[in-house]
Amino acid sequence: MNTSLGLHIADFSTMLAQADYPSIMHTGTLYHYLVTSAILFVIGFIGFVTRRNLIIMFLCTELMFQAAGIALIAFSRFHLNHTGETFVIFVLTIAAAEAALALALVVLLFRRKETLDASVWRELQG
Amino acid sequence: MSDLVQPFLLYIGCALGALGVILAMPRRGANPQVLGGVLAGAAVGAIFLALGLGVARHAGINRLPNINFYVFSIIAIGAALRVISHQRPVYAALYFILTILASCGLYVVLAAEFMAFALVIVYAGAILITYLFVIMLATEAPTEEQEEQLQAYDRYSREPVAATVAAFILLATLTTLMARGSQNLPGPGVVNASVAKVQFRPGVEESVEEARRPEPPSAVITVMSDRAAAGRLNLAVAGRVLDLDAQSMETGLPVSLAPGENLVGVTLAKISDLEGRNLDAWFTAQPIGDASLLSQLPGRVQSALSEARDPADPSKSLLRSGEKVVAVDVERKLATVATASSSGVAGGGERRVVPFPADIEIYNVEGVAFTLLNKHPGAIEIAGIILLMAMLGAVVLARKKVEMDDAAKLAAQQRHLVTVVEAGPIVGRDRMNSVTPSSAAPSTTGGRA
Repeated sequence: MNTSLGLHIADFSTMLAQADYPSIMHTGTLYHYLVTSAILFVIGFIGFVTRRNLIIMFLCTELMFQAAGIALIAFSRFHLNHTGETFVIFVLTIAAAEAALALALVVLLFRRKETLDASVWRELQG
Repeated sequence: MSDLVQPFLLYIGCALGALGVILAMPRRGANPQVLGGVLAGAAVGAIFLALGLGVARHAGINRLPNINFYVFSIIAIGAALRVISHQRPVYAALYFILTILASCGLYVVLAAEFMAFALVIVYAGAILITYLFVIMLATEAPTEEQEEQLQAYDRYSREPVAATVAAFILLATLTTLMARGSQNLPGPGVVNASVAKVQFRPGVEESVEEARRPEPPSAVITVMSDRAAAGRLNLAVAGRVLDLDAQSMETGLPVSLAPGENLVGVTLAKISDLEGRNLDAWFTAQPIGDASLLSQLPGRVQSALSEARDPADPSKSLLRSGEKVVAVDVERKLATVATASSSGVAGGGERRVVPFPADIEIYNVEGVAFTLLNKHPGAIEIAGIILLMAMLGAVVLARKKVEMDDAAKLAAQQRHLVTVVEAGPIVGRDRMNSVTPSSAAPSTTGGRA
């Protein structure tokens, strides 16, 4: 039975099945993951620009790291090697280092001004 | 672009998403966050619909991603939206954990189990807990009068419209360019001189040499590639580029090979002589995919072989005592095993070919570990140094004694005073305070009282 797209109804059942790992991933499938990654990145970007709470701003950078990780893993699956996955390990390392330093800084800044508002530090503009 | 995605639907989705995110951001006055969330959800739906229709029409519906992809993506995107739109930092952090968990689901769908679990442990387990601690540390303790009051900087976002419009223009550009670029991406096994560089591997090179000995120096290369049937292949042997079309791929192309020559652009080739007899010599590309990684891990095959029972005599193992695996043919599931030679050199003695169990596979952890240690040892060192420096830096920052500056002290006192005087109508106080959200800085808070 054909749908208006010219596709077989039976094909929908294969859509639900997990593709076997070594089988080759189509560029269209890869593109879906890239779009998810781009949306997450953009949401993180919006959060970083609009939110004024320092902690939330750093949380949004983590969101952008996460988006990059999804793109790396998708490319790793697409090329059927593990290089992308090892890169995510390094992204994770950078995220951990950034969280340690940034949160220490946030605590420092909070002690100085008793507020987490980023616009308090407007004087840094010079 | 036009056959992978329908640009019209994609851009409608982007515009709708921008509107939804603008509405969902915390703002003063009426706060239509639910409406914004619904719009953003519809936008994500429209974008995925555009993608799905495009890919299904372009490549067939079985090229669409797994249904789990849609579930996890929508959870991840929804939770991410809540991270940036929730007014309470603690809830934002908790929603971020949900994003992490959903993207772990995506990792599992993409067959990256190790990274999925590492992400749960490191991100959700360590980094986010640190965030929660800092949120608790760096928040003013609620007084009796204002128990549940939020800070002004949490209640309103700064320039939501401009930021969202800019970000969604970025998204539209990114998706357009990715659609254009990803169509021409060479996948694994695609013959592309810049992607696959083939070298003779030691064990196999020997057998090529042996096989060639009767009638040097000619051999016939038959390209065995999953893409071979689809089109033409360019095969470069020792600097010459051979153009193989579908017919010459069947019959084979006579070339001369010398030991150590590089073959660029073939993932797997079979070598036969000019009369078409199979010389039983194969070579494979540098590892692409898990199975070819097995050819670099003969110990893995050896342990599988020593555990496997000989079908003719179940009391014996397939591997006899003293034998070692010297070469692995992943494609045909055959391993060359050899005993130690009389002079004691391992693998120098008598050789034979045994089939190895078809179900041995490289685990994801093994693959990641092999790639990490084999290809990026320097990066591990650098990552270790970065972590060490971050730890030192955090310790130095945490030990530093900081005095609150006078202006902030004054502002804090006045803030407390104001909130005590006007304990009730928070919204009204801020409305008279300022017009634009960006001017609601504490410097104006000071002047207010």
